[in-house]
Amino acid sequence: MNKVICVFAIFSLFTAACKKKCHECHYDLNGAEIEIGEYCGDDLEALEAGGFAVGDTTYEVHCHEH
Amino acid sequence: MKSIFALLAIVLCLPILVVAQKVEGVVYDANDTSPVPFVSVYLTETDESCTTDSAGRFFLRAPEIAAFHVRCVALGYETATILATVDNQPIVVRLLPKHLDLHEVTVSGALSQAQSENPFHIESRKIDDLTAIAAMNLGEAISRIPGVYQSSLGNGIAKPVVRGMQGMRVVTLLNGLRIESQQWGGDHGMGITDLGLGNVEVIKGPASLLYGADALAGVIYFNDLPHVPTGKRELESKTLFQSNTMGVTQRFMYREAREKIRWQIGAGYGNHADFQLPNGRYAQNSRFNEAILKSVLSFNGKRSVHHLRYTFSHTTTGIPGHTHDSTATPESFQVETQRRTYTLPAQFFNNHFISFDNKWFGERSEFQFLAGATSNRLIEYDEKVTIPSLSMSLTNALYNAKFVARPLGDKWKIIAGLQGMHQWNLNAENASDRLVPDSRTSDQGVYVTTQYGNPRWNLQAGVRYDIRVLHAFNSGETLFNRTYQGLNASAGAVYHTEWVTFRASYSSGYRAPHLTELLSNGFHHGALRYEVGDIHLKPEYARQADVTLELTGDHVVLVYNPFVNVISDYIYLQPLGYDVDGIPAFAYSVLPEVAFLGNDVGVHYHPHFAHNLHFESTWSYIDTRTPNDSSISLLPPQRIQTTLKYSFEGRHKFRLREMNVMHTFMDAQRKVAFLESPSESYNLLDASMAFELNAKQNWEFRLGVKNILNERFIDHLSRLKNIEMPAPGRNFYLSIQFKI
Repeated sequence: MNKVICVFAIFSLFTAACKKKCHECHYDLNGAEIEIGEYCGDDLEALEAGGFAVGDTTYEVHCHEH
Repeated sequence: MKSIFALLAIVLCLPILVVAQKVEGVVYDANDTSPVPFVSVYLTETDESCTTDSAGRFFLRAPEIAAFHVRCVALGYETATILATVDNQPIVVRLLPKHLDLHEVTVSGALSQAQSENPFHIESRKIDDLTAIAAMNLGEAISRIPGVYQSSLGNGIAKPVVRGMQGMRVVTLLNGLRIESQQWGGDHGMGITDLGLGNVEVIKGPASLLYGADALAGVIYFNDLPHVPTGKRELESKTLFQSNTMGVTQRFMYREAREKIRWQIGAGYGNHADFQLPNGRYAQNSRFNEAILKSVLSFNGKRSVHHLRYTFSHTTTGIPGHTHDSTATPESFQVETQRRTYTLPAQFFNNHFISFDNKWFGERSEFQFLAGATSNRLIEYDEKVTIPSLSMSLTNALYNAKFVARPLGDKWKIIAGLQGMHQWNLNAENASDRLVPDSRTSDQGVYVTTQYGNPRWNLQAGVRYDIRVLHAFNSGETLFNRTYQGLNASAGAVYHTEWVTFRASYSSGYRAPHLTELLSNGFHHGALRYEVGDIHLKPEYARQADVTLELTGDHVVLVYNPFVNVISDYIYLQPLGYDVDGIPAFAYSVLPEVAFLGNDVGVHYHPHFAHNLHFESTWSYIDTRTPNDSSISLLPPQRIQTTLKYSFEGRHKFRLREMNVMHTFMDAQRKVAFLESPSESYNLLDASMAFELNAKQNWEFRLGVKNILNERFIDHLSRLKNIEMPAPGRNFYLSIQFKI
C-alpha cells in the first residue's frame, strides 16, 4: 500500500510540475483594457513575443495583474 | 597558478615537527578564584571548541605551534582571549564578571587577533545581538552597526551602505568567500541570510590591501556560528512570525562534533506578504519569499584544519513601484488588500556558494588556502510572464592563499598573500533586454604586510599590487578589452592600555569601473531607470585616514572614530533630465574628487548600581565635499541610535530573561543631488522581551513591537522614496526558538 501511495505522490508531483501555466491576457487601447482570453504554454509565449494582431495593427499584450 | 602551487609545495614540505596534542586548562572567576563551569572554550586558529566541566577544567586538541589563541565565553563574564603556548603546563584563564566587552577576536583583518590589538578599526557584532529586536532581513540587522545603513527596495531587497557608499564599493564575504551577486544594481540584494551565521565584522573604508579591487567603502565579513563542543550534538529550531507582513520565517540547524570531524546542516524558509503602511494600506507587490540550504563539514589533520562549506538560496521578490497608469500618484502604489501570490514585476535569484578553506600550522608559521566558487542567477520579469526582461548568470571562481610567518614569535609577523578571481557573466538568449554584455573578468593580486607589536603597541604596514583584465563580448565578437592596475598601501598603529586604546591608520584602495558603468545602454526596470554608460571612465582611487580613541572605565566605554575618505574620479549616476518611454534617464559621469568625512561616536554605560542594565548610544555622521559643491545622491543622514537592555536574574523554570528598547533618530537630509528628493527626520521606537523556559529542551520566546508609535516615515536611502512610499508601520512579532 505504501508503494502505491509513493508512486501516486510522485506521479502527482510530476504532473503538477508539468502543468502548463495559463494567464488571462489583454492589450491596451485608448486607455481601456481589451480582454483577449486565456492563453497557456507555447501559445502564451508566442502571444507575448509576437503581440496580438487586429487587422493591420499588432498590439503588445499584458498577461499579468497589476 | 604556478606560483600558488610552488608556495603550497614549499609550505607542505617545511620540516614542521608538530603533531596535534591535547592541551588542558582551567577557567577561574577573576574576583573570587572559584572555577567557572560551562564556559565555551574556543581555539581561534582551528575553530575547535569544548565546554568546561564542573571544576572549570577543559581539554582541547591543538596543533603544537609556538602560540595559539584560546577564547573563553561564559554567561555573565567578559569574553577573554589569551595567547597560550604549548609548554605542557595547564592553561589558566581568569574571567572578569561582565561589565563591558571590547575584546572580541576578529578574523577579517590580516590576522586573527583581539580587536584591541588591531591597528585597523573593525566593528564586530554577534548576529544574535543585532537581532535582539527582530530584523526583516540581514541588511536591516547590520544597519544597526554605527556607520552602516541599508538601502532597501521594500522588505525583500536590502543592501548595506558603509560610510555613505554602496553597491560595487562594498565587498561582502562569507567565511572568506567573496560574494558576487550583481551588487552593482540597487535592486539586487546581498544573497545571504542569517541562517547559521554567528557574527559580522565590518571594515569601514578602503580595504584593498587584503581584499583587492572594489572595497572603497568597506568590507562586510560574515562568519558562521562555531561548531558545537566536541562530543556534542544540537538541533536548533527558530520560528519568527511578523504581523505587518503576516510573514513567517523558519530556520532549522543541526550541529554535531566528533573528535576529528564536525558538521552543520540547516535549512530555512521565509514567506512575507505585502507590508502594511502606517495608514493601514499595503505596499503593492512588496511580497517576497526565500528558501535556503546550508552545510558545513570541518575536519582536522594532525597539523591542519579544513572547512568545506556550501550554501544555496533562492529568493522571489516582488518589485513595488510599478504601474501602467500614466497619471500615477503615490496612492497608485498602495492597495487595500494584502496579497502574497506572485505577480509581475518580480525578481528570481538563485545563489550557490561553495568554498574549501584550509589552514596548515607550522611552529612559527601558518598557511591558509581557500578555493571557492559562487554562482548567481538573476531573472527579472517585468512586462511578460514568459519572456524575462533580464536573465543573467554570474559565475565566479576564486582562490586566496595567505602565508603568515612569525620569525620572532608573536612579536613580529609577516603576512604575504596571493588572490585571484575569474568571473563570467552571461546573458540568456530569451531575455528581452541586455543591460550589460557578456563578459569575462580576471583579477590577480599579490600583497605583503608586516606587523610588529609589544604588549602596548602594534604597528602594521603593507603594500599590494592588483591587475584586472576586463573582456566584454557579444556573439563571440569583442566589444571591449581593457586592463586596469592598482598599487595600494596601508599602515596603522594602535596603542592600548587597560583604560585607553588609540588607533590611527591610513589605507588606500582602487576600483576599476564596472561593465554597467562602461557599457550600459538600456532599461533597468528594477531600479526604475534608463541607464547610459561611458566607455572612457577611469578607475577610482581612495585614500582614507581613520582615527579611533576608546576610553574604557569600569562601567563606561567612550568611542570616538572620525575619518576622511577621499576618492578620485568618483563615478556616479547623473540624471539627464528627460525620460525614455516614461522612465527617467541617467548617465554614468565622473566627479574629479569627492571627500567623504564624518565620525562614529559611541557610549556604552553599565552602571555599578544596576549591574543588569546596559545603555548604549551611537551617533553616526557622514558628509561630503566636492570641488564644485555638487551633492552626492543617497547620502545617509546623521543618526542617533540608543539601546537600553536589562537582563533579569532568576531560577524559575519559566522566566523573563531580557528586555530591550531601541530608539532611532534619523535626521532630515537636505543635501541632495540634482533631481533627488530630500527626506524628513523621524523617530523610531522598538522594544522586545525575551522569556526562557528551562525544560528538557531550552526554549526561548521573544515578543516584540517595531515602530511602536506607527510613525510614517520615508527613509532617505529607500529606493521607494521617489514614489513617496513610507516604510512599514507597526509590526508585532513573536519568535520561538528551541535547542535539543
